[in-house]
Amino acid sequence: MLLECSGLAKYYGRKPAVRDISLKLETGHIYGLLGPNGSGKTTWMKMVSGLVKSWKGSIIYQGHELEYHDKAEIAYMSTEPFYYSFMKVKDVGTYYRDFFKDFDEGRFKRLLERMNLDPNDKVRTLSSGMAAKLKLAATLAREAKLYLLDEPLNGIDLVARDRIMETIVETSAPGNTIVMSTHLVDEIEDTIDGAIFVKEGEIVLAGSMEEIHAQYDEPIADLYRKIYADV
Amino acid sequence: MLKLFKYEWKKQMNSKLIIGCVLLALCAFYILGTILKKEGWAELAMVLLVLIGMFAAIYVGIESLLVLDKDLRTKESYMLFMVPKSAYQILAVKILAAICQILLTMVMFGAAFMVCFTTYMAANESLAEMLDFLRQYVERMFEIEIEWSVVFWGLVSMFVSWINMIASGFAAIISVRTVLTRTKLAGIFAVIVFFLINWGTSWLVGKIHGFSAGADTEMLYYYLGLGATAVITVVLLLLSGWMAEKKLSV
Repeated sequence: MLLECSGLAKYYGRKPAVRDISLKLETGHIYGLLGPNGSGKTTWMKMVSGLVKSWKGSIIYQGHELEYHDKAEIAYMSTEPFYYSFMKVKDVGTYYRDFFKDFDEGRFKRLLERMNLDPNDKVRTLSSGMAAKLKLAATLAREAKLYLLDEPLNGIDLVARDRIMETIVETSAPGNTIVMSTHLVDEIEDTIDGAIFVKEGEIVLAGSMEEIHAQYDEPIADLYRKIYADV
Repeated sequence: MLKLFKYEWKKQMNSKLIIGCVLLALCAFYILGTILKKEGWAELAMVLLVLIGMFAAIYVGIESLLVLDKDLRTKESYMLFMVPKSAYQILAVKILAAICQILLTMVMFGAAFMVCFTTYMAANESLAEMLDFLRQYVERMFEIEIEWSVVFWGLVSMFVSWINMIASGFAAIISVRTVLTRTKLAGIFAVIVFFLINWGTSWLVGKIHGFSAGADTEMLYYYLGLGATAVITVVLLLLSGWMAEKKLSV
């Protein structure tokens, strides 16, 4: 077991972001964390990456309570741009190299080329699509045990999406786990082998793709429309 | 730690570059005024140098608080808190960066004043007279009975008080950002909490000063105050670290 969350909850004031999430993640899988905006996907990811502290519940990572040094093995990609404004694209690689032992600089350079990013461009001048590609390149250039990719396809054009999905699949290995949050279900259906549906801060359905297909016998996208019809 | 320091240093370098450029311009203005015998220029440059020095001391003194507030207010906070470093390490590095930045500023102003002083002496006295003046100055300095221990403890006291102010600021910003996660008025609340912490610190130090009543030496009063301020500073920093580590969401 790589990660086990029990009864996680987080409120902002009286507004619940996550009400009650309990789930287990196994190594060697790609999970889709599915749900519309505001369902609690991002807050859950931030809790697991240590950026947001839960109000209650526990996060057990590799058998122990999640601690700050576990961030050395957890690669989180936020949906918002977050790099220092004084940085150039290549400085982002230097930053990751400085702090993450699992960062592969060669892979970072290859990913920059693949995504048509100029290492000398200023981070603050990048378009939202290019900034999203940079976040992805930096995150996937790590050889982490757990990747948390928050809306990796947001702001990315249709052609580049395929390239990004290819890169994510390439990154997947028997020794790691990838969790992708998205509401673009069609785009990831063929890639994920497990799905977690989150609604109003709670998990409403979770399982392997085989289990879900066996139980519902319909594409994930149709199931998604049914589950969130009232949202 | 060094790598964290490198980025904290970079965050505060812009202001030092601006200060450096202003100092260069003022030095050039002073030198020109001295060489061209335009006393008004040189005097204006000196007045500006002193005024800007005062402003820079205040700004650089609180810059680490402004940086921390920006860190926590924007998504750039992820850069700090996604790395495998504890919040205690992050705050320690921020304190260290603040100390180094203020030292750098002092060195920059010291160098600027030295340049102006040397220019003045070179323009108005011969080299031999200048050296003689320096010799006399140094001799006079050592002849005067300066109590170096008083100077030393005075500097220590200033340093501890400043670090205490930074620690109070850290505690105020982190506690407000912990409790009022998504409030736009968090900055104003942080200022209020900052003054409350300072008031509390003064009250506590005042109470501890009371223990020196009846003692025959004034130094006991001073040491008690200094010790109390140092202890409160450490407590505030530990508390800030604990809040950032366990409670703060960014």
